[in-house]
Amino acid sequence: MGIRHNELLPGTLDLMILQAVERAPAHGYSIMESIWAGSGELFRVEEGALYPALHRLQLKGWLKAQWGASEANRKAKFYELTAAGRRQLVLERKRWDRLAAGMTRLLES
Amino acid sequence: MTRLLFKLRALFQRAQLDADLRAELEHHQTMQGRRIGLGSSLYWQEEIRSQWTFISIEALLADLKTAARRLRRDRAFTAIAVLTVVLGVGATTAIFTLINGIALRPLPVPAPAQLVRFVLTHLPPTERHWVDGRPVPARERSSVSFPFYQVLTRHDSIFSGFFATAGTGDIHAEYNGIPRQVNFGVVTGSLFEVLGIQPQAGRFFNSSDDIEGGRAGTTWPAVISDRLWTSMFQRSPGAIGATITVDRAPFVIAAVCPPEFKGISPGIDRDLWIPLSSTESVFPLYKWRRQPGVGALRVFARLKPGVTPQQAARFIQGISATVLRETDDPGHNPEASRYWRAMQLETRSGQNGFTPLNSYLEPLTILIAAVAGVLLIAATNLTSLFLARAAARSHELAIRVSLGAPAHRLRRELLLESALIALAGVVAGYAFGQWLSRALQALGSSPTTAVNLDTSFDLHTFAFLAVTLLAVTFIAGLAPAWRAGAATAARLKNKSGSLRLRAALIILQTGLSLALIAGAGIMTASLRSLLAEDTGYDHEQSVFLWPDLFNAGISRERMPRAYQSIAARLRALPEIAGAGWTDLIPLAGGLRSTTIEIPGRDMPLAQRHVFLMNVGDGYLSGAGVALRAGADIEPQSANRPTFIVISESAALHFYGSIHNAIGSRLKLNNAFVQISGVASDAKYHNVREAHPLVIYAPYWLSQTRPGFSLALRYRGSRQTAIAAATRVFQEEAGRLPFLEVRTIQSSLSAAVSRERLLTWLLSSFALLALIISATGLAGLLSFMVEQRRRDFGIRLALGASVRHIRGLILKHSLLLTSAGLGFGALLSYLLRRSLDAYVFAITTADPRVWLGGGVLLLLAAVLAAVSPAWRAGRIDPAPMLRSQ
Repeated sequence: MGIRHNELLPGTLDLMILQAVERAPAHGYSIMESIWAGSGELFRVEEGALYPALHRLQLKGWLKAQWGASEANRKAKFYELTAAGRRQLVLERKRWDRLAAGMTRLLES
Repeated sequence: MTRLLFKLRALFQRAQLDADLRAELEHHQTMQGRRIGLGSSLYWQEEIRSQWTFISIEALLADLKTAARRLRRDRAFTAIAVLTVVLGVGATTAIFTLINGIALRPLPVPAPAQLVRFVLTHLPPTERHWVDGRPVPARERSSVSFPFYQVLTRHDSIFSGFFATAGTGDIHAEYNGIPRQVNFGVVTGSLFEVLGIQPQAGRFFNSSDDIEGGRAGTTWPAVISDRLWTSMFQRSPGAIGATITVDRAPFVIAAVCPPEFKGISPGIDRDLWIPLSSTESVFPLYKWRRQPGVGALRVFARLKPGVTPQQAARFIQGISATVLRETDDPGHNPEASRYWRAMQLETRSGQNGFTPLNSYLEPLTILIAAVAGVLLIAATNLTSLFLARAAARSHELAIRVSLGAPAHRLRRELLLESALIALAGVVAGYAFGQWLSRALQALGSSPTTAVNLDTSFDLHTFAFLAVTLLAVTFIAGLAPAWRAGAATAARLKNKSGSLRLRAALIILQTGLSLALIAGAGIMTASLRSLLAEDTGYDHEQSVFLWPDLFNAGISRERMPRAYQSIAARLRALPEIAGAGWTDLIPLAGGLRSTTIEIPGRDMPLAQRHVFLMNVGDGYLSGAGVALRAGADIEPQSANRPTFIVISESAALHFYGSIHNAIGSRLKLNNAFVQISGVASDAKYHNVREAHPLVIYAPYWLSQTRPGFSLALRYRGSRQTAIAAATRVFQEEAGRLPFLEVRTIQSSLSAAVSRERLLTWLLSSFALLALIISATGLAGLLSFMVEQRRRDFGIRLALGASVRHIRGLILKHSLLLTSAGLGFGALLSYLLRRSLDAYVFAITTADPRVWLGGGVLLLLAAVLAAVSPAWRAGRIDPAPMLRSQ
């Protein structure tokens, strides 16, 4: 079992989602999968957290959604980054880097 | 921002959103290959939905329902509160719709904002307006001559067209032998094309009808209103091309106006329009085409599309000097010429047309301030009612606060209650106000001119009502809501705060009421003195008759003989004590002023203004004006020097004494005349004139035209005298003429219509204010009795007399009112100048008014204390003591 989203730092989930759709549009399930796989099976984002977060990011204007056909040729909702979302991803990454660097320094001192 | 848009879209596509969510969930489950627990999926779906929607709107609706339910339950409270608002809003709306109809609502024509009208400013210092019987320097002239109009229309680079309107009034029109009086307008042919309106039948006359003499071989065209089309032609299409007789001249109906177009004077409906050029044949005495001096044309123009009124103003400023140079009368002496060229041509907005009702604007502005005061009193009463209710609900509110109800929800609930009350009050108040404004227009109408303003709902009205609604809601609801929000169990127990606030409101209301009552009192006293003023005429036994002899069959040529013969025949009758003709009825609005020269005396021009009345022999006796000395005007005969009569004030002003005046010569209209007699003072134009300088000159010195009035003094009854005169008119003319009967009383009453409107309304509003604030005071006192029930009970038990307890309540009531009177005195002092223009024979500082107003309010305070004091005295101490 990995780390559940409510054990994460606040804001981290947004960064993971933005990162997951950076290269190509993806539907909810595949975002969940890619976060699971990409983190080395560490972060397990449940649907109860993922979908509200997806909609929240959409309302903020960072993601946009479109219905399309999934790899299994089923109707699925694909999320992709907007220009504002891309800028936000850069910001969030920087923020995370600073956070991680600070944390590392603190633990090693 | 995008968030708001998303949400707004979602609000209308709720079903779409839900379907999307379901589809997304289904896809997820398929991919995952297992079902998600129903509970958890519902939970996150709800969370997503809440992101997409306005939670607050739904909560708001819930609060609104609660507020409505609460108000429904408290029927008595709601009824009183709504009624208070209805009265306040009704009064305000009525006055506002009148102002809107006169000055704000644009004419019903395409692009009214592109219309401008022209005025002359920087007038010669000699030019006077007569205000309240005194000549005051005129600032603006809005009428020009025809040659001036012609020069102006040549400067047309930014205008798409010009038109001008001349005389208006009632005129005799006949069709199929049925005569009637219609309200007509004389206009240039270009009027309709420049306004840009389309006829509902026929074709309008146009600028090609502006040529001198009209189009060869055709009868003059006329345009009629929708109303006249109905009453004269029963809406028959045959009206177009029909010939009607207007003042004995034939006109062919060319077109019927659309129903919404009633002329360019809002409030005064016209029924007939004839081209200006036709007046040369209809009124041959009216010479206008070549007289460059003062004329009676009001000029309007339409700006080309895209030209702004500001650009037009600059353009006119630029050509003003040129236009004035080109219109300078060659007959002017150097001084007159300098004055003429010093004037400035300016533009004004023409989108509201031009109406004589403009003179009502100032009293209406005073009234809107007065009704705003009434509305404020009503709204503060509402505040007081709400505060009392909040105090009564303090227990409930305290419990809700301690259970964790958020303060803003409580505040909102109370604000919503006041908004609902205000909304109901504004809607009903609007209907009441519409009715009231119709009643007021009836009050402002004279027998000859009906005031009919467009008071239908428009954007201005909507904005006005919306502002009123917000004002009432917030004035009434803010304080109670704020207090409820701040409610905690402890603070609500202490109710003195709400009492203090309510006491302050009572003081405010009393003060406003005093200002209104004082205003009403001053106006009432002033109106009574105006109507009772000695005018110098015989009010009891004199009457002015205005027969339309011309249309009844007496030609222009025969008119002078007919006048003489009628007067002589009437004077011979036993029931007639005196009869004489005049070219205008005094105090009826008409005015003729001129300047005279006295040989050998060098008086400045400003002191040589006089009123002129062209009268026949016997006029003074007919009007009941006494001759102080000398001889009356003698009957017309050849080979006699020209004698005139002047008023007593004029004799004193110009000659120092009556004695000196008799036999003196003066120069009137460039001809010498001699004074044969001095008449006692009689008011000429305005009842406020203290010392009317009037010259009574024989009418045969100038042209004897149709339309004179007969002053008739009678013995016995007025009916008999009028019947006798009518008989003589009919015998002379061959036909029964239209006859208008005026008495000095009726002219007076018409002349003070503005004052009457002010008096009437101020008095009703003052009464309204008094009632509302007295109920407010009574409410506060009974509330106080409720609050201090225990206190009073204990006092009674300890032996305080009932009298003493009742005295406490009364004292409180009188104290509050006295404080209010102080505030009111201050307020009235600040407003003291506003009524000056309408006040007559009384000063605004008259102690009777203030004492009367104060006594009235104190009386109301006593009345308001009666019921609460009675109840305070009836408190039974026993249960009070037992419950402790």
